[in-house]
Amino acid sequence: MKVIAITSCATGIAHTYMAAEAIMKICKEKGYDCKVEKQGALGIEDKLRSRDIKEADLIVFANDVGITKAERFKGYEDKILHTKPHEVIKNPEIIFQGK
Amino acid sequence: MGDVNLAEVLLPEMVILDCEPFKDKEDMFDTMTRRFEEAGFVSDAKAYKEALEYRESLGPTYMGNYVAIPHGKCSEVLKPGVGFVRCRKPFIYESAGESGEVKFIFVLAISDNQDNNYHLRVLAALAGMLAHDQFLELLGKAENYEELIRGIKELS
Repeated sequence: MKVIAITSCATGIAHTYMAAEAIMKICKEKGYDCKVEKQGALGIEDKLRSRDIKEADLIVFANDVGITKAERFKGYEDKILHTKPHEVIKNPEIIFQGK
Repeated sequence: MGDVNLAEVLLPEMVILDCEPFKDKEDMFDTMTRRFEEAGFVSDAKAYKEALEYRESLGPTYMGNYVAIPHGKCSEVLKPGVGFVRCRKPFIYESAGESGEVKFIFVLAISDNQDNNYHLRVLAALAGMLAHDQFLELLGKAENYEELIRGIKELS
């Protein structure tokens, strides 16, 4: 299983990075491949490539503000789970609980 | 955390261990924003408090696990910094419609201009650490500032 995610939040510092870490941690515990792109105050970090998007079984958007370069995900909408960084931090399992 | 040094943004004068619980969030904000001003991180405690309150209006900064991470971004922040308070006992922290018992609070001051990416990176790394149980354990048991910083270095 391969999970990819994008995290973003209002200030671009706290929730973006906490949520990213929470997603990576739970995937590691479950033995899943995982890559998280952070869209925060430092710009885009660990940017997802088209190959990542194509190969992903699950795409998580954990965002409070708009996703930058969302057009990359065109055609993969059925794999996307929409949530909020705060929800992921409080209960990381939420990303596996379906759309 | 690579080569970033948390000690540069989490200064000893901004760490309060075993504080008496605050009456509420407002009380904690008053104390911490004053400290930020005294330590030279912000030029105006009141403006910085308004930035914290503005961020509260956008969504909860209560994170569960007795942790809250309020943060404010404004032009009155002269350099990015972190304050940490550990309370002897939890107090009720209300944040954007959520509330819970809190005893570990990280208060972040984020500058408006983002020239200083290095410090922002340290704040981001700190936020990431909060997702880890070992970090929360350390917050509960560190006996002084040095132990806290040493523990953070070991974990990062």
